Amino acid sequence: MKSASSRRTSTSTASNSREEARGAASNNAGTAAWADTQETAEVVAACQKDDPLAQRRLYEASHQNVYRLVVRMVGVQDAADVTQQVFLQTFRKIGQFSGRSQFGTWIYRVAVNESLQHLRKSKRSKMQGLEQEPTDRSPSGNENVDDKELLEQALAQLEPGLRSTFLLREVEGFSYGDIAGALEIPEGTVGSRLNRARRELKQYLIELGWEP
Amino acid sequence: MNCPEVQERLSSFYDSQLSQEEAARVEAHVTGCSTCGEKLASFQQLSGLSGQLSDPPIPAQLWKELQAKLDSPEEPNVVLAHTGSRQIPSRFMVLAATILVAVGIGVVAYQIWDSPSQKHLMVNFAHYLENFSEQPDHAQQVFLAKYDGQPMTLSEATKVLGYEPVAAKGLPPGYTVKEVHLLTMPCCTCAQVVCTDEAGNSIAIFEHAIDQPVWFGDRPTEECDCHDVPTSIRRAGDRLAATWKEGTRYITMIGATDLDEVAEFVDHFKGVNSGGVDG
Repeated sequence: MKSASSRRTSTSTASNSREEARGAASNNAGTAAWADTQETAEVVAACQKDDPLAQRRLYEASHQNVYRLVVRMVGVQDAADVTQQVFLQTFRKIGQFSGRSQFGTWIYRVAVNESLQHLRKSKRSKMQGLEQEPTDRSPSGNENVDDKELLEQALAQLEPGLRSTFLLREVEGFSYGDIAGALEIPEGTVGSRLNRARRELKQYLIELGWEP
Repeated sequence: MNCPEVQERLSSFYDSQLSQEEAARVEAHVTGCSTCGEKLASFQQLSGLSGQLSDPPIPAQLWKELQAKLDSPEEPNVVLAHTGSRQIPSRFMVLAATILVAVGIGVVAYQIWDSPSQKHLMVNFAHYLENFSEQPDHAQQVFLAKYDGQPMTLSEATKVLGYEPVAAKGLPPGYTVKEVHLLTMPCCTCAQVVCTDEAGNSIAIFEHAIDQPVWFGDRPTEECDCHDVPTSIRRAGDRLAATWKEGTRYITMIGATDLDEVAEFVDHFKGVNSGGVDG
């Protein structure tokens, strides 16, 4: 399993400060997205035969990555249920995994799809029950909240499609190509989504009282 | 490069996705422009903040609960059951629907036996239905190649077909038209519109003059009322396919996540064909 930072490739000369900021993000992610290895291929092949030991190994190798993404997509309250659903779907559909894409990208696709499906359903049920509450973006009460917590709050306000794009890039360390594969969008759309995500996140952070 | 051109490329520049030449042009602008420079600096700040995020603690029972679900009988991937405003068919209706489906299968089987082209149609649709949710672009590519898919605009499709496809009158909020094709199939010539939601999920909408159960072969069908409109629901991979009649034409939607999404489209298109010319 390789860390995300080792997967990224540079196509132009980036400034040192950019690389430092990017490096800080990916280093913290630790075991971010992984590249497929012979070991991954063997575990996937065994999972395709419903081998329970292989399922456990796959879970152990990937559940932290999946949970980390899911918790920020759907919130901590529903994260465990959605993560279980991600693995149920993964094991049920793993026979369809042909190896054309990286398995690491494939399982994130399942995680994003399950998260979005969950959000869609909970949004509908909230609308049916008229339970939707206005979003409070006021800075009051955030005096003692650190920047990490502010970012978590700002991320929660971001539109899910933008949130998943930002998380895959900044937390999971995905390349643009892998993000496009995981979200099933054209690679050319990734940059414009990140532009919007970063612009809106900064705005939300400032509204929450963040001082750059 | 001016500011809008630079800002359009700012993430790609920041993430080192531009060619050397383009990156140099962006860098030259950013160096001398405080507005764009500040935006780039905010990207760096966000990366720094993201780098501080810690991994959330994972519930201790996660694997045990998952294992219990893995050991239990498999539940359907797609929930057809529905709450809220949906009119759940009565037992009588379910029985009637089952009989109708059985009769339908018989008719389809006869048609398939009778017509090799329809057999091919059923096989090609089966491939499309199974693959569309996972690989919509690939499924589209294969299907369009089979049935001479001609790309066109909605207004061009209107001229060719003699009626305006429902998508031309607008999609439900949050959906946008991705592509429009005219398909020449053995059963009919029809318009196919692929749209995407905000998350990038694809939905294909076929509009056709007569019902086409042959497309779905012997897939189980559930009949239900979506906003008082009789709708046939079939599984398509881990998504749904739905067919209902709108005005004088039928609409088939492929790729819906759940019955609520089907109901959203049925409701949105309700009445849009009532004043139109028959296709």
